[in-house]
Parts: sequence; structure tokens; C-alpha cells
Amino acid sequence: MKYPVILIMILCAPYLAAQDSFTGQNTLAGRFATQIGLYPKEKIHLHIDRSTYLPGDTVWFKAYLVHSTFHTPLSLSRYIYTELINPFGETIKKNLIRQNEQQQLQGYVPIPQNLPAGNYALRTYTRYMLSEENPSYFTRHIQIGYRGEESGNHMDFNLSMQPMDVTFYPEGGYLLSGDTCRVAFKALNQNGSGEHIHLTLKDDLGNMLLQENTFYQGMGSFSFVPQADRKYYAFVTNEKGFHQTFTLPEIQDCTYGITTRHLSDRIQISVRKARNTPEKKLLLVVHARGAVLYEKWIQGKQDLPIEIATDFCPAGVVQCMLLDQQFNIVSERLCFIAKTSETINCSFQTDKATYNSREQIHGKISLTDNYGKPVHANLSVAITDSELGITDTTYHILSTLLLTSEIKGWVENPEFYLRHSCDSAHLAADLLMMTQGWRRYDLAALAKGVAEKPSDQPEYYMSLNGKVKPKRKFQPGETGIIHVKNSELGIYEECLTDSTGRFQIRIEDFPEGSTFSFFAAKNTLSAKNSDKREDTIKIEIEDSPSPRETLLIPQRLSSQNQTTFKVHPVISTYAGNLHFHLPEIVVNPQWPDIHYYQELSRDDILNMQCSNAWELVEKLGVTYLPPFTPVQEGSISISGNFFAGLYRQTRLTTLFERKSSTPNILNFISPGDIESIQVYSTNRNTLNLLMGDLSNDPTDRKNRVSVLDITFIPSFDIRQIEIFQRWAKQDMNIRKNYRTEIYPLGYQKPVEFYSPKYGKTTRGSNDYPIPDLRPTLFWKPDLKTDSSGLCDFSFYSSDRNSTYNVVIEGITEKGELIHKVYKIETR
Amino acid sequence: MYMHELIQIFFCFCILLNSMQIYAQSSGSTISISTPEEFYEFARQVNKGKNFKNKTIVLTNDIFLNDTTGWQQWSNRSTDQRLWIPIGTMKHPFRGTFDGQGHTIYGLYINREKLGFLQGLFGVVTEATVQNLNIEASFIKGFQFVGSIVACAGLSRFARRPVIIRNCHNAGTVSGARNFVGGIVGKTDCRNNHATIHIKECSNIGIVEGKDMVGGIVGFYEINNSPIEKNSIGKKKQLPNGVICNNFNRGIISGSESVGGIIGGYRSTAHRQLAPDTIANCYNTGSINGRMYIGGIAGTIGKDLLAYNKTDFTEEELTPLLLSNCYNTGSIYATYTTTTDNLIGNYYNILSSRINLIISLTERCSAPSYTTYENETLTEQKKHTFFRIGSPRHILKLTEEEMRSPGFVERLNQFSNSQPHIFRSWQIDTLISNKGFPIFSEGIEKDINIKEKP
Repeated sequence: MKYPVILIMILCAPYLAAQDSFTGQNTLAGRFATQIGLYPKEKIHLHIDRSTYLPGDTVWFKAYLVHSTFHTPLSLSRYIYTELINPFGETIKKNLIRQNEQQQLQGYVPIPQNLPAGNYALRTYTRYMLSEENPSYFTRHIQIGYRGEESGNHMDFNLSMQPMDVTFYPEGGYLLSGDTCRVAFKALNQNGSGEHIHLTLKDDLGNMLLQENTFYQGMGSFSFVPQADRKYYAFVTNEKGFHQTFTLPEIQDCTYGITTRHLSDRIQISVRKARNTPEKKLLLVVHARGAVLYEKWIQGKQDLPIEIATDFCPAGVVQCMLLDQQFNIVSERLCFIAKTSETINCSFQTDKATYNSREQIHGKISLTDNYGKPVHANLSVAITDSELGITDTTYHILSTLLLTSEIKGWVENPEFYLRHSCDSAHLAADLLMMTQGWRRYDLAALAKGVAEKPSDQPEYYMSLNGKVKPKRKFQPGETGIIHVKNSELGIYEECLTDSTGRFQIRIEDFPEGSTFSFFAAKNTLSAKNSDKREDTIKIEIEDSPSPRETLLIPQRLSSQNQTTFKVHPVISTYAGNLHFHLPEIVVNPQWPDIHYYQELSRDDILNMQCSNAWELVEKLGVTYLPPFTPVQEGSISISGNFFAGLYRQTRLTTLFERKSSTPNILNFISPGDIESIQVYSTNRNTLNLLMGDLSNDPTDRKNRVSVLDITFIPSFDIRQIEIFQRWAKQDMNIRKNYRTEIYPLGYQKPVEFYSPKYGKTTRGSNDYPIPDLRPTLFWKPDLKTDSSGLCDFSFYSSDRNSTYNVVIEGITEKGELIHKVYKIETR
Repeated sequence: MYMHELIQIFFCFCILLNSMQIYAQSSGSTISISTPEEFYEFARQVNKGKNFKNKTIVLTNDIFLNDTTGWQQWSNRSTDQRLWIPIGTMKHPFRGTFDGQGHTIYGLYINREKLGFLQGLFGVVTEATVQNLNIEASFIKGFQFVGSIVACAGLSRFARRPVIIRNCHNAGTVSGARNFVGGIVGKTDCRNNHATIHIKECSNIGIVEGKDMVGGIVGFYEINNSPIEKNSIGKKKQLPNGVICNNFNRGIISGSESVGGIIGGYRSTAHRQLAPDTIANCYNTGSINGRMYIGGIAGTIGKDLLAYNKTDFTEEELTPLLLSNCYNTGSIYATYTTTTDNLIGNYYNILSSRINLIISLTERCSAPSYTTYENETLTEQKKHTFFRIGSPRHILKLTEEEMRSPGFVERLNQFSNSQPHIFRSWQIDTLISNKGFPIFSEGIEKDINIKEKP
């Protein structure tokens, strides 16, 4: 029984979840437990295949969505959002990942080919997390390098002489007069990364009290005895010689403070007070992730210091709080417990000790608990070439779920703090705890008996939310009516808005690249007749949820760029190995006399995100002149009582599904219905040929025309064209956008990681015309151990003689975390 | 370097020799071709302008244009096959007779999806006859006007002889990015009142794909013959019209609009001075897929009534379409319900109000045709966008069991035996080569085995 309190809470969870108030919960532990049941929160970790990529690569990931307290797998939200964020904090790629049939969340982030090198970030969250006051997104760095000899395409930062930000964190929250106080400090440059500084502490009389340097990642600490009537100043200097002065917080003369000492097997908790503080009865509470481990009323010093065995605590962040009799938080202090013993034994074995190139490697994972019983768990495995220096070692499931998800702010190199055998790591972790705050529930309100309730429901289905904007406000009894369609998915929905014009349409899951065509009208008698189009009103659709905060990604300085982003030469070599993902070759037609040819595929059309079909064709350079506009086409003046299309100064023939028609049909077409568009200038003879007429009249060769050729997706009902044509002929001179196209974020379609399969061969690695230099040899996000605690997989080695790093991550049904790194040798 | 030059000289010598052979032969009326190089040279000469009018070219051997190993996988990425340049262009069509003598051309490879108008073994033929020829293990992919044997037949305004495509068979893949794609002929384009195009005794068992006007035998069959003078109405002399008979399809045909097992689209004029159109004694057992106007025999059949701006024709003034003795048992998959029956997807006329006149003419003059209804995905006749059309009454629905019975063969033979010099007789499919449905008995269904040259 390692974590008795946590286990009791797991057993009580169903009961706790049924509670909806604090009725009968007089103890703080009871209130905490009820809160967890009432408002279970999510945490998320992303296991990615490696840490360094090149433009054109793919980041493969598996997301572990867990209960914030118990770390048990959680299925509150069916969807997660992942963002690739550039060094300026801008989201450049966003994906929506849907739970698969095995309730696993896995996906990929394709890195665009033209992305500049730099430190990027991956951010992952659920919509439910966004509704939290202090949401704990998963955020991590990834480094994107540049290929080969390229050197100019990187983000440039030059921040060395910019002001620093140094913040001081007295232990327990206050500088207590007359008592020895330990003060942690954190120095950050403008880029958000830790800055190494030298600090000199002086009082307001100019007396130098002490000097100190940062210890790790811009963090350090010092101790001194503050006096009530004095002010204290810190004079700091960074490595570039930049000076700044900061004032320490006010000295408190009448308050308590909590201090802790982390010994080898226990935490020692003491309560200190300022010189003029009266004796008070105080409540000491120790909790881990919201589960109370210790709760006791104390008065005076007779019970102090209190010692709590670390074996009694779960690994991770533990918060000690001091509350007064009115349950106001007087002081708090975070501690970090890095466990030395493991609860799950994970072993990995291969069928051979070493392997040749392109040889099949069989791997087997075995999981047992401390009693040798098999354990059922979900696992993910990333196997990378260790010599390329790309193995993901800085962020892992332990560092995320035990450390970074529990505290506020960005944590650089979180893995370092979990090195339990390293004294420096212990010290650094203690400084980190002093300089960050716990982020979960509102403890002050909770202690007073006010439970926090979710402001939003977990996202369990997809919906389109928005608002219509009529020219005149809805009269009493009036609402809007919304029609939404997607021909590709066969979705035709209709709903009414509320009186303010808001609406929500629940839609069955749709994949990325789906578009929806909206038509909105007033829901009045006139709208129910056939002429709905006259009542068309504007519509606005809400974007997919996104965190409000701009993410500041710590970057290296400009002078360091050349070395920072210089990739291992072999990574550059593997860039030449991207034949696994050959780009599509586009061949333009070579019909007779074709000029100014442009073609849009369906992907191009969707990427352009035009709100209607007119806008789409105009982006190709097509112009439609209103009726009765004199047009100079060469030397001939033309005009008419309908729209005249022009492309490159020649009259345009518009083809819908290979049949000539009036362009007014565009009034009724949605960009999402279009499969492809071709536009070009040619002669009449070629146009005849395209229309199936082989008459080949030589005089037609001099007659210039241009063609706009629109083809629809297979699911588009082409019979509609006849109806549209009738409508269009009624209003030859009307151009109106009856429909609005929107491009919501759909779920990412699952794609398998490609791993080549080789036959038996005796050839050496140099004998192959194209070498196999894959950096990620194998990625398997959906491994599950069977009833005997085993699972296996196989893959093929590459042509590089190297050591492969096998990173195994996972989580058991009981919330025990698994992180192991093994090695495979090849020769 | 020396060796390389020697090879070049030898290669040029071979071409010169072939040219000389064909040139020497062409002084006679019959020219024999037995090797791929001779065949390439023949194509080159036609495309240079030698039309071979009144000449007969005979194949004396099977021709392997490419190594056919793995031909089913030939696609966009296949680059090591030798691309075929079709025989005959719009400017220089082939005008002679090409007799394959039952030989087969293997490994015909055309891959011009974006730039290929008029792609096939022959590009354009006029007043020509192509007969007794098989295409196997071949991949033909073009843009528009694509057919395995002939991309476009017809064209000349001054032709006096019909184009005849007879006893030609395709077992390759034919594909077009756009319209007018046929297993044998892509499009016919007849612009002369004294000539027509006969497609007889042909078959397709290969995959045919395209957009509009896609057929197992012919993509779009168009006869534009119309009386020259107004006062010629009612004169006894009849002008020729379309003839499509004794053909079958067993391949999968896919397209968008107007997709048929034998004919994608058929269009002719219905003036009384013209002979009746004949679509007879054909069958389809292949699967036909498309969006709209999908039929086992034809996707769309249209007859124009317009002449001299006159629209008020009576039945007596019009020539009928003979749609006789055809059957379909293939599955018809149409996205939209405009299929009138499983035999013909759509009846078309510019004057939509006169469409029933065409249908009544057809059913009055035609012998019965047959279709199954078990595989009919869209049995219910639904309202067309503008008007409702019914299936002609002479198209009979039978069960598959009935169509496999000897009695059905007898019914088919009653028609074909009435004109045995035109129509092939039928027999029971004892070897189950056609899923047990009746097959032609007089050897046109030669056993097509796809061979691969090692």
C-alpha cells in the first residue's frame, strides 16, 4: 500500500461523484473529496516520437488523457486539440483528434515544408480544460532544424541586452520580520527563458547583506533576517553585464509562514511567525493533487515540526497549507516528491542481442506489479536512432503528469527535476516549487465550503455554433432558420435560432477538410414560401476553442542560432530519404493553344477557405462584369443584359460539369461542392474539341476564348444544375451569395505510421541504391498488454549502424505511470 | 563511344529497312505487318500523311508492343513502357483496310491523361475498315476521345464509304479523364449523308472508365446525317444510318453521365429519308456504374427531330430506332433515379415534349429486348426533373433464371434467324463463360486469355 489515501479516494470516487454539495462534509478532506467528485478535471500528456524534426517531417503522437487526481484514464472528453506554435506564439497548425474505437487518442502533426528553423511548441488541450480557471494544457518544445546546407531560414532573436524580469518568492509567501527567511528568486529574460544572474542584496541604508548566483534555469535562493523597518533591494547583473535593480516584497510584521525541509525519507513542516504575531489556532493541510494527505489543527509550537513520511505520499507535487479558523489561507508551500521505487516493473526484450541492417527486430514488453502479477496497460513505443540526438528525453509522462501539469508557468527541461539520485536535481526542484504555484481548484473558496462547478460540459459530440445577423433585429416571436448542408457527408440539417439569433447544430463527426454551406433566413411566413432567398441574412460561426493566452516559447539568442539549429549531419542526410513521402507531380495539360492555365484541386479549394463560389473564381483572376457594362475585348465592344465573364481580357465560357451554362449558377453553388476548377485561355477550336465537337474549323483558331471549367464532387447531386439553371435564367442579372461556406475544424483522419518491410537479403547497407536512414524506426501508439501482461511488435532496422533508443510510455488502468528507455544495438 | 554509335547506326538501318519494306509493299494493294517495328513505321507513315486508301494492311503475327509483365499495374508511375502514338490524326486520318486476321496486339501503352485527345490504337479513321483484331494486356489512358481500337471514326464530309469496325475485341484497360470513352471506339462523328459507321461483332471484357459518354463498345455514337434538300422528304432513296449489332460487353464500365454497356450515348436524326437506326442483337453482362443515365445497352439514346425549323412531325415522317433482341443482366448502379429501365438509361430529345413520340416509334418497330430486374438498384420510376418518361413496352423484364434457360436462347434465335446474314445466332453458355447467360454461337466469342510475355 504505497498511497493509502489516494487508493481510498479511488474507491470512494463513485460515491463522491454522486455528491453535489458539501452537505455533511465538515472536514476539509471531505470537502476536497466532494469537490473532486463534483468537478473531475482532466490532465493530458503527449508522447511524441522524437524531439527534433525537419520541415516536411511528421510529428507522431499519442495523447494520454487522465483524471487530474488519480491519473486513471478518463473519457470525459472525446476530442482533444493539438496546436503547433511558432516562436512568436502563433498557431500555425491545429488538429482535432477524436477518440478511436479503442478509446485511444493518437494522431500526427505534419510539419510544413517551408517552415523556418526554430524552437516551436506543441500545445494540447480539451474544450473542457479551457473552461477551467487555471487550465493545465500540455505544452512542450520541439526543435525544427533546417535541411542540409540551408542556413538563412530560421527565426532570429537578439535579446541579450533586453531587460530581465527577476521575481522574489519568500518561503511561505511572506518576508517575516525578525525570523530567518529563505527567499527564492527567478530571473527570466524577455524571451521567457531562465537567465543566469549575479545578485547582491542591500538594505535601504546601502549595506550589502549577501551575494548569490542563480543555481539552475535562472532560479536561486538566499536566506537573511529581515527587519520590519527596513527595505531591501536586489542588484542583479546578467552574463552580458546588464544591470537592473529590484525591490524585495514588503516585510510582514504580523503573520505566519510555512516552511518545509525535504529530508531523505520525510518532509519536515514548520510554522514560523513574524515578531509581533499573536498566537492563533491554525489548520495545517497537506494534499497531493487535491487528495488530502494530512489535516490537523495546531496552536503554538508544541506540535511542530510535523513530519510526513514520503512513502505515505504519492510521487509528484505536494502542497502544504496553513489556514486560519475562518479557513482563509495564511501561507502555502509546495514540495516535490520524486519517488525512487517503482510500482510497475516494465521489461523489454528483443529476440536477438544485435541486428544487421534491414533485419526484422521482434520486441516484447512485459508489465508486472511488485507482486509479480501481470498488469493491463495502454502503451506507446517510439524507437529512434540514438546517434542522431533526436530521442525525446526532456519531456515524458512522469515529468508531465507529476510535475509540469501541477504547477503554473513554463518549466524548462522538466525531466531534470525527476532525477532522484541527483542532489542538484533535488535542490532545483525545491527552488521550482518555491517559484511556482499550484493550479488546480480554488482552495480558498473550497476551504470555506464553496464548491467549484464546471462552467462547460466535456465535449462529447461535434457541433456548429454561431449567430445570425439580420439587418433588422428579430421582432417578438421571430427567429432565424438555419439550413446547413454538406453534400460529401450527406448532411442536411435545419434548426431555429433563439430570439437573439444564436444557434447550435449538433452534427455527426466530420473529418478535417469538411465544409458546410449555411443558408439563414427569418423564420416568418414569407420565409416558408418558395422565395426564401429574398430573406437571406448574414451568419457568423464560432471558431474552434483556443486558449486565450499567447504562448511565449523560450528561444535561444541570435548569436547562438547557428549552433542551436545546426542539425546532426545524418539528419540532413535522412532528409534525402524522404522518398517515402514523394510529393505529387502536377502535369499541366498540353492541349493546342492553351495559355494562362490554372487548376485548383479540391484540397486547394478547401485551403483557400472562400465564403462563396464567386469569391473562389475571382481569386483565379476571373471577373464578372455586371449587365449593361460596356466591355472592350480587343477591339470589340460588348455588353449585355447578363453577367459577362472575363479572363485575361477574353470572354469567358463557364462550364459546369462539362456543360456550358450561365455564370449566375454560382449564386447557388457552394465551394464545398466543387471537386476541381480549371481556367485557361484558348481558341474556339480547342473549346469545341473539349465540348466534343471535332469539326476543326480553321477560322475558329483565331477566335480567342477563355474557359472556366467547374467539376463537382461525386456526392453532389448534379440534377440540381438544371434547377439552378432555371433559377439563374429568371435572374440573369442578379449576383447574390445565398449561401455562406464555413470551414470548421474536423477530426483528423487516422493515418498509420509507415514502416518498411524488407525481405531476407544478404546485401550490405551500401548495396542499396537508396539508403534507409529513417530517424524514427518505429512508432506504435496503440499497444495494449494482454491478460499475461505482455505485448509484442516487430519492425525492420535501417541501414545505419547505430544504437536505437526504445522509449516506452504508458498508463495502467489504476493510473500508474510507465516510462522506460531501452537500447537496441545494430552493427 | 564507338559501340554506342554502332548501335545507333544499326537502329537507323532497321527503321530504314522497315520503311523500305512497307514502301515496297505499299505499291501493291496488300501490306503485311509482322513485327512491332513495322507496326510503328506504319503508324508513322499514316501520321505523316499517307492515308493507305484502297490498301489493305494485314497482321501476320501477334504484336507485342511492350513487355506485358504486370500490365495490370501500369499506371501513372510506369515510365519504362514505350508510349504508343495513335495511327491517324484529324489532319491525316487512316482510310484503308486494316485486317488483324485474328491476331492480337499486346502491351499497347498510352498514358496521356492530361494531354491526350484522340487516343487509341487508331486515332482517327475515315472510310476505313478495321477488323479481326484483338487488344490484350494493354493500358490506354487519355483525356478525351479514347478507345482501344479507334478513338474517333468518321469525320470526313466527302466520304462515300462507311467506316466498319468489325470483329474487334478488347481485354485491356481503357480510361479517359473526360468524355467519349469506349472499349472499342471512343466517338463516331459522321457528317456525311452517304456514309455511316458500322460497329459489329465486337466485344469488350476490359475495364472502361471516363466521365460522360462512356460505353463498353462505343463511347458516343453520333450520326449527323440529315436530308440536304427540303423537297427530298418522302423520296424513296434512303440515306444510311447507324448500325450497331452483334456486340457484347462483360467488362466493368464506370463514368458519370450517359454510361452504357454497349453505347454510352447514341444520337442521330429521325428524318424519314434516313434508314432506321439499328441497335440489335447485343448483350451486356458487365457492371455499369455512374451518376445519371446508366443503362445496360445504352446510357442515353437521343433522336433529333429538328430539320428545316420544323417541329410538328407526325410518326409517318420519322424514322424509327430499332432496338431489338438485346439483353442485359449486368448490375446497374446509378446515383440518381432517372433510369427508365436497365437497358436504356435515358431517352433524349431537344424537344422534351416529343420524347414520347420517339419511344412509341421505337416500341412499335422493334422486336423485344430483355433485361433482368434482380440487379436493378433503382427499380422505381421516379419523376424526372422536367418530365416523366416510361420504358418502351417492347423491353421485357425477365428473371435471371429465365434468361439462363434454353427457352430464352430460342427466343433470341427467333429474331436472329430471321436475318441470318446480318445477325449472329445464339447458344446456351454451357461452359459458364458468361455466367450462364446466352452467348453468340458463331465463333465471335473466341476464348480471350490474357497472355503475358515473359
